[in-house]
Amino acid sequence: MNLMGLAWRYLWSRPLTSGLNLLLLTLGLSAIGLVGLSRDAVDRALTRDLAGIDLVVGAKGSPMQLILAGVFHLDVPPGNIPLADAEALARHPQVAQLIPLSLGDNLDGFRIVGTSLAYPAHYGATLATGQWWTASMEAVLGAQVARQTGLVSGQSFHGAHGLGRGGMVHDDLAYQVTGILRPCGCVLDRLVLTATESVWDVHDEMHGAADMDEADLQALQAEREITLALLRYNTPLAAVTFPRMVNDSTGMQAAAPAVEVTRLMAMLGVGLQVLRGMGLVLLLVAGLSVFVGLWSALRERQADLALLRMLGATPRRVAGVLLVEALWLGLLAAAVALLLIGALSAGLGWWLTQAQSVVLVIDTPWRVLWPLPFFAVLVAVLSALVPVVAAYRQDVHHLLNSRS
Amino acid sequence: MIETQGLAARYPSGATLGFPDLSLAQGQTLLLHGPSGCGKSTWLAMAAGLLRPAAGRLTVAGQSIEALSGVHLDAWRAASIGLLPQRLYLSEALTVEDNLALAYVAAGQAVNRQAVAATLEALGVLDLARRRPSGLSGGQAQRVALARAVLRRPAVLLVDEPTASLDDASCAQALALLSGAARLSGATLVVATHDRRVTQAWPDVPCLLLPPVSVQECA
Repeated sequence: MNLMGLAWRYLWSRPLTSGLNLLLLTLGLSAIGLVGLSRDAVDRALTRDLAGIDLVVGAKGSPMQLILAGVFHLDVPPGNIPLADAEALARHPQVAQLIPLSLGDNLDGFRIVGTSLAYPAHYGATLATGQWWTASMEAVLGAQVARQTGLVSGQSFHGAHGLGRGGMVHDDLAYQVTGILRPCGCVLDRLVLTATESVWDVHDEMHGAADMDEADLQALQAEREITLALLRYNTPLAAVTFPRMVNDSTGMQAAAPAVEVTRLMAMLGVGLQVLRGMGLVLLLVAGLSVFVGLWSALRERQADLALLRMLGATPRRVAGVLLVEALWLGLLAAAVALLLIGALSAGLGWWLTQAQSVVLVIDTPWRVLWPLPFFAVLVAVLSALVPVVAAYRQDVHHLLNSRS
Repeated sequence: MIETQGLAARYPSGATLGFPDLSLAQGQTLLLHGPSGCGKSTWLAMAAGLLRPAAGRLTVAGQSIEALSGVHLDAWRAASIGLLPQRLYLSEALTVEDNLALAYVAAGQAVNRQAVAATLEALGVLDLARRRPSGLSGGQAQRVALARAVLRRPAVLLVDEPTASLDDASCAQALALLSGAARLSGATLVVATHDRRVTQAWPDVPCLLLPPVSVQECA
């Protein structure tokens, strides 16, 4: 037994009080840590999915909706745009790359995205098995899609109309799975990728294209649409003029992801600040509770502290016992809080995956949570200061003379 | 081993109390005898370095108390003094053996578990090592507290009212225990008591009568 061991024994000589103090500290720390970790994971998820996309062009409507639907695949797109208009934008000198996206169907709630091979290339995606699509009605599955549907290369499936579960199944045309993507921790994990022509073919079939005459088919070809397009600029200067040009001179809408995501995070930020505030209130209560606990311990344990002085302990050593007791409490609370945060964040990640929402990757939690133990110790030590000073100043002769 | 010259204590009320000069050799025993409130505990507190003398010179275990301060005084007390107050001060948060180990922890030293066990055995309470103080009888608790006081072989053992609440048989046992414990560590023993049974039991032991008169045979 040393000073640390003695403080540990004193701490648990009042198990109910210490347990409650530990619980309060843990809850406060967990709330703050979890909010910080979630905020960081969401920030990283959004930043990762947005990387390299300078502009999203789609039908007129809410720019936020366009970004959520086009980049994060969380919302319904505001409508479609003519393919010819998108191709015209692709030829603009300020545009380095345009990636078309066509939405409209799903597989068990996972969106089927008609696009070009430039889309997976943009995220640096690679195949785990199989090969990329080379023709209409061939599809490559994101890692999460393959895991949850159980489909493998060579199997086929039918898409269902709409972006959520429960739409009418397109029975006439089946997709052939040609490949499965490696997990990328990005939006592609929960998408089914195919050629843009696949989306057109499925819907042509639905609208009875097989019975159309040549003139009608030519008209249909001329009126081809896509849902939206992701653009990358040739020059940063394009950010100043290009969106305005699109919004003012075409029937399409241009939305800058950086602007919309900043707006989104500002809106989310209010809720996160409320949660963080609640965590701080909990910590304040915990700090007060630790103070009350140690103060009453000081009163109850005056005899023990006097005994230490009688046995030759310096006032500093006697005060140190209380301080170490508070440190134990802080460190224990930090350890339990870290475990709790780990479990809760894993649960949150699992739930979001099941809900086919944003992929949250919490691979380096220490990056956000490293200050937590220091914060816990700070709260505990601050709470212990007054009792520690009182212990330091104890009149041991007076205590020893008391007969009670 | 203990020498005093012109020793006086000052109380919070401002009153001062002088004590007769005395000189005790290593291994000798002294009784401080007098009614409650006569200054016995104050004398012990000064000898233990817990209370500064208002005047005079006090040398205990070869060390002039006035010359020590702060950390040095605490270190000296840890090394040289065994103190057994009337209230035994056994911590309920700790087992009996850990109550003894506290003597090492207080001094900032590594606990010598062998010494703890040997001392408990010498005082006949080794079988109580894992118990909490609340599970001890009064006599057992006193033995444990005495074991802690002599654990580190102090040069001086200061004991305050060891027989205050004991019946005659227990009183005789306690005195035998004290003299045995003092012999165990070769300590100079000072016992403060208002109990005439003690002075009668130790008729040959030098006795300081308080309020201060002189060093004489109390019996």
